[in-house]
This record gives sequence, structure tokens and C-alpha cells, in this order.
Amino acid sequence: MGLLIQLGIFAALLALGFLAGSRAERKHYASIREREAALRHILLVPVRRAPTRSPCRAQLVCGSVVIGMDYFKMTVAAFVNILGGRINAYETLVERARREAILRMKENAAALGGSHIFNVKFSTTNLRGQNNQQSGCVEVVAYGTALLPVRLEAGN
Amino acid sequence: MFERPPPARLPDAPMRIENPPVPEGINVSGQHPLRDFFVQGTLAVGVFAVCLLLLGALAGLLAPHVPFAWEQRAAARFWPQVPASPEEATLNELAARVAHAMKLPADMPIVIHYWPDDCTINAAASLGGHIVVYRGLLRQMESEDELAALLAHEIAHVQHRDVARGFLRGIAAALLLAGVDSVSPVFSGIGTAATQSFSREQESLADADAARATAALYGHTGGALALFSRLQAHLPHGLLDSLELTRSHPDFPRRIETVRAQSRQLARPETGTLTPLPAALRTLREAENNCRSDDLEWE
Repeated sequence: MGLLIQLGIFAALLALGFLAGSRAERKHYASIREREAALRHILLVPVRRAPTRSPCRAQLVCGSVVIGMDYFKMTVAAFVNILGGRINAYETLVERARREAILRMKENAAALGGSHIFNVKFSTTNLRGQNNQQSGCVEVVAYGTALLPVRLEAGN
Repeated sequence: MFERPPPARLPDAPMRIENPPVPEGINVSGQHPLRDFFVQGTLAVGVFAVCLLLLGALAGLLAPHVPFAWEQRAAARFWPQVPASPEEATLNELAARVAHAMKLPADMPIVIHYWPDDCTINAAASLGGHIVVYRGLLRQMESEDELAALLAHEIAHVQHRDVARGFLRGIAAALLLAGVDSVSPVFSGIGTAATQSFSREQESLADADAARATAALYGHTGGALALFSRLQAHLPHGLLDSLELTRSHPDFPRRIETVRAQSRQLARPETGTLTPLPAALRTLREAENNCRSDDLEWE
């Protein structure tokens, strides 16, 4: 009896995780695509040094995001972890986190008036709760050096 | 010594930098999540169930070879050494007669523990030949025949080494479950279903032994039949309680049929004169019962 109640709770959490998680994912992707189009004028440059010889200022910009996994994704991943294999359920999660982190970094650069970000790097952390238990969260940080217009001093 | 290379020179020609739209579908699999869930879930559950059944069968094979003295040593530290109450002494005296009728080996002594708890309608065999009988269940007994059938059922579990078997299966299931913590409800469900299935077989064998023991002691199986018929009324009546998958015991009609089959096999009648309960236990029925629930736990 107790076991059936446990199984019922498990099935309910699974269904809730799938429905709410899928909806949240669809909405997030739509927001990401819209903001990516709006911020496309800020260019990401995959080199360590600024590809310009014009006078410019540089400043560190970064964007970070923490995304939680839904119960459905965690369950599928737990199944795959037994026998091994590609965890498709986590791929959309990590991709969203990476694109969202880039967007936030670009928003940071845009606020400073930057037009390019070079030397872009990523850092990913799997957040863990107490007693080293997995809390089902992933953090992605994107950071780089933004090129900013030179401030014209009075008298120059 | 590593020599640091000189910084790369920027090309003289202006570099053309583009940021095209992020291509979709390269880093993400197009497979539907539900398909993933069913495929991976079926594989994982299948492998787990096969492992559990194999380990369960292995535990079943090993248990009879574990020396009973090891069980007794392990159990000795858990049971308190307290003077026997009159009820406990009576129960042990009857258990000795039942064990003799069941031809229990001399190196398998049975010790009955009387537990004065009215709210628990239960009895259980434990490691090392220790059997605990709760007052709640004793209050349901109307004759010595019924009590003998009850004790014979529990003694049969000791004789068949079912307790050691269950203990080893429990360890095997716990080890397997430890590796799949995050989806434990699913795997606990499979573990319980497999264990209950093993358990139902053991219970049927214990019922058959109980019928034989009562037939040997009293000349008929009326006590075992009366026990199962009356206790059936105390079963919880929830919808989920009737699902066989969730039960550790066969249902009562099947158990009654097991007793009847033994009667036919032994050519002993199903009815006969029932022997009254020993005096020390008869008074239990008349004592005040402050417990509200009368749901049966023993089956």
C-alpha cells in the first residue's frame, strides 16, 4: 500500500516534470532566439587579443545562468546512468544555459556601449546540495573582454 | 626550457567578423524525450529486475547452507533476556509440542516471545528460531487448535530457513537499490514485487506444514481452517490492499484451499472437536481492549 502511494507520487512528479519542464523549455528557447536576433550586432571574436589596432578600451564582461532540471529529465538521466549512453535530456538543458549565458554577457557589453567581445570562455558547474547530494542545477558562466569606445577627455 | 612564442601579429588586411544566427539542432538530439524515457526506462528496469531475480534465487539457494548456529548467534544480541511471563511459558510449551509434531531438528530450538500489545494483530518468525506473538493476535484465538496452526506456520518458516532467505534477499536488494537512489520508487516497486512473489511461495509451503502439524496433533485440520476463515474478516478493505502484487501472502480463499488439499492428501477430516485454549491465554480474550483498530497484520 505504502509502495503504491510512493509509485503514485513518483508518476505524478514525473508527469508534472515533463509537462512543466517542456513548457518552460519552449518558452526559454523562444526568448533566447528573440534576444539573439536583437543582440546580433555585438560580435563574439574567438581570439585572445583584440583584432584591431585602433585605440580602444577593454573591459571584462560576463553573463551567468543557473538552470534547474525537472524531475522528468533527472529520471531519464538516472535510467541512462545505469547502463551508460548519451543523455539527450540534458543536452537541451546545457545548450539553453550556454546560449543564455552568452546573451547575458552580450547584454552586459551592450550596456557598456561595446560592439565586440573577444577571448570568450565558458565555465560550467554542477551545483551540489548538502552532503554532496546532486541538487539538479547547472551553472554556466560566459566571460570575455569587451571592446569599448575610447572616452574623449576634455581638451583632447 | 619552454620558450614562450612571440605574440601573433594581426593581419594587415582587415579581418571580417560575422555572427550568423546560432544553428539549431546540432548540439541537441531530435529524439522525443518520451521515447527516450520509455526506451531507457525499459532497459534499466529490465536489467534491474533480472539482477534482482538472479540474486534472489542465489540467496534462496545459499540460505539452507548457512549454519543455523550463525543465525542464533546473530539473533542472541537482539532479544532481551527477561523472565518468561505465564503467557510466554504456555506459548513455549505448546510450540515445543508443535515442533515435535513437525519433526523439527533438535539443533533448531524455537523460542516464543509474547508481546503485550493489543493494537498489533501479528506474529512473525525471526532469525535464530525466535518467534514473536503479539497479544492482539492471541486475543483472536478461540481454540488451542488455531493457536497451534498459527505457531506451526511460523515454525515452518524457521524450518524452511525462510528467515535467512529473506535476510539474504534483503541485503541483495539493498545493495542493488543503493546504486539507483534517484529512481528508487520504481526500483523499490520492482524489488518489493519480486520479494513478495518469493514470499507468497514460502507462505503457501508454511500453510501446508501448518495443516499437517494440526492434523498430526489433533487428528483434523479444523483449527487451521478456523484460523484462516476468521482472520479473513480482519483484513484491511482498501482497493489497493486486494492487489496480489502488493501482498506478501496468498489471499485467504487460496490458503483455505491449501489446508483442504492437505486434509484430502492426509485423509484427515476438515472438522473435529476443537481443544479449548490453555487457561493462561483464555483470560486474554476477556481483558479490556483499548485499541481502536482491528486490522490484521499477520496473514
